[in-house]
Parts: sequence; C-alpha cells; structure tokens
Amino acid sequence: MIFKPPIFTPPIFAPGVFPRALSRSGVSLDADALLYIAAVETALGTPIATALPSATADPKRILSDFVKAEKAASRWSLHKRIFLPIYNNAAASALDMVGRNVGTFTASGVTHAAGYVQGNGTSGYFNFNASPPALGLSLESSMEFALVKAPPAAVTAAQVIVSSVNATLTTQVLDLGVDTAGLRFAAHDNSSGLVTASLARTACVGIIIGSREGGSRRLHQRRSAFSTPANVLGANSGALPTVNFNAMRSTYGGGVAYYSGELGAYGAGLGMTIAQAEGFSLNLKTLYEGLTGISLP
Amino acid sequence: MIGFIVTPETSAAITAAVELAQTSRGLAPYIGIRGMPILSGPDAGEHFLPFDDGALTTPLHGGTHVSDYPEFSALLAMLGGLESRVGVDPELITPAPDA
Repeated sequence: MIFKPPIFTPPIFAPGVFPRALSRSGVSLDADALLYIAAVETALGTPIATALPSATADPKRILSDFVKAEKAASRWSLHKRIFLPIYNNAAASALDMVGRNVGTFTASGVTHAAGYVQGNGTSGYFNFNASPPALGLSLESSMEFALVKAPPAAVTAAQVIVSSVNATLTTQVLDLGVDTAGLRFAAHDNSSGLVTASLARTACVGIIIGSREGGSRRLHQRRSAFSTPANVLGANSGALPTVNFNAMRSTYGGGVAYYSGELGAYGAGLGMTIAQAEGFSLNLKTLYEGLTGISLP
Repeated sequence: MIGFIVTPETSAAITAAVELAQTSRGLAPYIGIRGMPILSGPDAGEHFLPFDDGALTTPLHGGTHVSDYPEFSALLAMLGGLESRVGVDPELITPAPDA
C-alpha cells in the first residue's frame, strides 16, 4: 500500500502578518495616509487617481511617502491641519489630511479646479472649523502656511491667506498674507507681533510659512530654493485668537481682506524651527508637484 | 457680487437649510451659505446671500452638483429663482460674523 500524505498548501501570508495595504513594490503604505485617501475617495465617489490625472506616480504612494517623511523627521506631530484643495471637488478638498476633519467652503465665491482653489476676492473663503486654542497652538508656538500656485491679479490693499482674528482686535491676531509691500505675518499683534518681507506681488508665491517659535517670528518661503526673509526675535505679544481659522480672508471684523490668488494647500500647526520649515516645505513641494503635475512657481 | 437680498431671518433659515441638506445625509457640512449684512444703501439692514453661477457647477460629494439636491429647488423657489439675483457693490457689504 502506498502511503500518500495529505497535500498541505500553506497560506502565502499568515493572517494578520500584513495588516496594511501593499503597494505593487510590496512596501506598506502609511496608515494615516490610507485613512485620508479612503475619506477622499468616499467624498469623490471615484478612485483618487481619477481626480488626479496628472499625477507623476501612484497618488497613494505619493501621499504615503509624504506622511512617512514627516513622521520620520518628527514633524508630523507639529501639524494640526493640512488641507489639499486640489481635487476639483468641494467635499474632497474640504478634508484635512491630519485627522480627516472637515472644513467648510462658501458655496459661492470659490472656484474649484484641478490643483487649486481660488477665492473671488470679495466673498469666497474656507473655514477650518477649528480655532488656534482647539488645535493646541500658543503664543510661543504657532504656525500657518499656504502653497500659492499663482498670486492675485492685483494687490491694492492687504489680502489675507490664512487667518484667525478676534472681532476687530488688532491685538488678538494670527494672520499670514500679502499687501502692497510683500508678505506679512502677525503673531499675535498687528504691530509688535508683525514681521514682513519686501517682495513684488508676483514673487509672493510658492510655499509660504509664518512661524512663531523659539522666541522668534519668521517668514519662510520655498520656490526653487528655501529662504527665511524675516526672522525677528521678540517677546510674546497680544493674545492667542479664539476664532476659527479661515483661508482666503481675514476674520477681522467678521471677514475682510479677501484673498484672490490660487491656493494648492494651506494649514496650521505648532511653531517650526528653521530646519523644520525647510524640511516640511521641501516635502510639501514634492507632494504637490507629484499629485498635480504642476511645478511650484 | 451676485446673489440674493433677503431678510436676516431668511438668511439664517437658508444657512441652516444648506447645512441640514448635508448632515441629514450623514455628511459633514463642507459647503455653506452665510448672509452678509448690508450696512448702507437702500437695502441697509437686509442680508446679502452670495450665489454666483459657480455655485451651481461646483462638484460636490460623489460628483453631484447643487442642482442634484431637491432642497435646492425648494430654496430657489422661495428666493424667487435665479432670475431674482441682483448685483451688489462689495463696498456696501459687511461680511458675516465667523463661526
């Protein structure tokens, strides 16, 4: 009698060994990135790649690489809100990458396009639905940023890109914007807490970061290179505003200084060192250019 | 700016209705309409509801548009239809208070 042992076919992967989705290369994608991607795809009703036809590689891989890089550099915990309004879809563009929190666009006055949103400069804006205190910011540690794809066609008065200002107070301010002289960042007083950088209107583009950190107030900018055009050491000033962050306008007086440039990203978080701002801005540049196929100006 | 001139009470009702149209579907209110108080001119005291043509064509959740929601037709009828929109000088407007 010939003994024939049973054929045992072990599973290729033991249950639970690979809980994360695998890319084609076999390297796992970041869990936070996957949650964000899932939320975006639910909002779109289509795969994320469909909304990003000009991506230079798999958008899921690009997003995962961004988050992994921020975590590896110990910067991820600094970020409290990161919005990528690039999907030509209000629901998807209102999603925050950090925690899938949802902001609110005005139904009118904001143009949604592939790679950016643009306010009309009179009534359109985006509400983060979160205030600086709710995000854990402080007088010593606060940051706002934006990726400006194109500047406003004209700047005849201040236009604010990211803002939180209480009522009509000039001493409870966190504003990042432009005026006829260039860039401006106020933390947390419009006078003693203000730093500026003299730049032409067309040069107020790229990744712009306003950061209060280490006793300093700084403006950073990344275009083809990274720079710190303003770095001023100063004591705390004013008070931390308690109004929800807005993009594309200042919340002063209920809403003024509407911004009409094209924005590909914006957000807020804890203050960054110069090195952290340099690293984050490079990573964000790679993310944006990879997802949209649009070169940073 | 183009949109509707309404009473403050109607403005608040429209804001709530747009939010409810989303939350009743299990969505976070990612899009909203807020009235802007008119401070001067013949309509001082009323609210201006911005509503440009872009609002009609903005891609929404699942690739829908404003016109896909039945609440839209009802609200629009209440406001007198798109033809009732007027152009308002931004100088006359004080933006709405932030949330």
